[in-house]
Amino acid sequence: MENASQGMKLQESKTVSASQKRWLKPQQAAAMRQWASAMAWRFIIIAVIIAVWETAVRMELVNAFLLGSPSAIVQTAFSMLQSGQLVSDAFATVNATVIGFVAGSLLGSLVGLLLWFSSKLSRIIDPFVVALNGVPKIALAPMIIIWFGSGIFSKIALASVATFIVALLSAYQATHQIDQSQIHLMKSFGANRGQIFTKIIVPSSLPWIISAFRINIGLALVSVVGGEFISSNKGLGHMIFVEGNLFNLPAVWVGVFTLMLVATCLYTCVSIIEKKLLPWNDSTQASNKSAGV
Amino acid sequence: MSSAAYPVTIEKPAIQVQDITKSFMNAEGDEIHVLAGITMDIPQKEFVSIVGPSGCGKSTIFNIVAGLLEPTTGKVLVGGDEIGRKTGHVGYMMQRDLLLPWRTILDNVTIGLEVKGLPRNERRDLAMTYLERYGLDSFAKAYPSTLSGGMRQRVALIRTLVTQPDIILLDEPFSALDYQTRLVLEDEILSILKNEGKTGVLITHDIEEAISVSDRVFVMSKRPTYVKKTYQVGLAAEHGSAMKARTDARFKQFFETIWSELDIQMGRSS
Repeated sequence: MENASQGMKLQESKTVSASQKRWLKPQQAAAMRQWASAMAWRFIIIAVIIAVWETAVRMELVNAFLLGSPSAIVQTAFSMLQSGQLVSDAFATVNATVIGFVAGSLLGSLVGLLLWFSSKLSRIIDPFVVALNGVPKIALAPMIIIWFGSGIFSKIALASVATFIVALLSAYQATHQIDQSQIHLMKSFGANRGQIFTKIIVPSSLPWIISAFRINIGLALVSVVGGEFISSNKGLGHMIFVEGNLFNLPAVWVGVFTLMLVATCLYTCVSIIEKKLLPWNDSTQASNKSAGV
Repeated sequence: MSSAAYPVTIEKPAIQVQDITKSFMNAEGDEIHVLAGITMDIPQKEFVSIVGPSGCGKSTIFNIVAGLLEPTTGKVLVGGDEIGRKTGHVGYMMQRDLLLPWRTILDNVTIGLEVKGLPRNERRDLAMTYLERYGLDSFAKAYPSTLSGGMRQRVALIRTLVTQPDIILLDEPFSALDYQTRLVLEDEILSILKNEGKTGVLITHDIEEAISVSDRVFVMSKRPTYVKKTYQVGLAAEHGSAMKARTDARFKQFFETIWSELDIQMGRSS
């Protein structure tokens, strides 16, 4: 019998790393250029909108009272920043959103994953979950506010409920995407159900769970702001609602823009967490397609 | 050398499949007979192949031998003991490598040892020994997505080998690879299994592959499946390589005989 290790000597290791070095750099440079050009265009678009808006208001082509104007919005924003009202409202909204999102998403994902252990239980509760998922969660707001009051707890509860269901459903569905032969392989090693769960089910469900997080961060914010509209004494939703009733359009705009900023920041945070949690989902896959033996 | 690897006195067979049948219920509630009474004795340290038309339930046989499925009737003995619903007594290598994308090559190789509860350091050392022996140690920290198909299957084999099973079941492990890679890998895996003194059972629909690597070939019938014929081949053992076995004059004869066995069945069924 020939020495087996001889046949297994591999020469391709060198060519792989060499080719990676060769083409990653120019690709990164091209990506940078694309990003810079997109950013430049975005600034141009914003500048044009602001210029047109402001000019139209100054020339009295549109009604400043009904639309507000960029300069008035900036002024209002500054005074609200100085008084500390904007920061405290934004903080209240972000606080409730993040707590509700984390609690609902984690708990929902956990329950969804654990349902893998009992196909009987999941078959039984399936229609309930689907029905709950169909209800617009904001319809629960009056009840939740009665139970939890008009403070931050009712907002957290609203965000939790909204995110819980979505997280549960996607985690549960993720556990069913798993290749049966993967489970067979683990069993052939003598793995028990607990080991299959922790080593296969949980990690391979993670990409689905985290993409649900991205949906959920938006849902959480919508629920909190909705709850603040209905009954609250704080938060960006509360501010927009009150100022809207006073026809203070610049203040409403400040609220809307702050919400945009908050939403973008939260979404970015979730994306960063996703990259940290799923390093193998990186773009390195393309580098080795051609390699033969 | 080849004569030393094949003891003349046949000891207790590695696997004894004793008249197993298997039926499933399909969605309409009809009973489907997949296996119609299969009996096979697979001697220790032999490399045998099971060939048969696709969909004939070859993988079902493996799942029963591995303890993942229970036969409707009959029993399977591994090393003389009845397996029942026990698992973990055979190594199983599947069509796809099933490497976990979130684990490095090293951590993929150690997963079987993890399941068996070996401490972290010991399983890493053992895995590195095997990776070094087969020239894959430089990939220990790489993720599977950066490896070619052939290398991924090598890693899958090592993942099976490190758990040190006496018997390794190979369920069409070469079918997803290109032709050249397949030839090289057949040769490698055969010599690895012989070096490590393992019993190998290969499922394949590729008759040439079966003849070139096997000591013995079981030809299966269409569903419901039974063993139609057994051939003593042993070309690879004689030549010391699966690649050289393909150049033997008898290779063609075996091919034609086995092909006609399969051919008659296809003709009969259609």
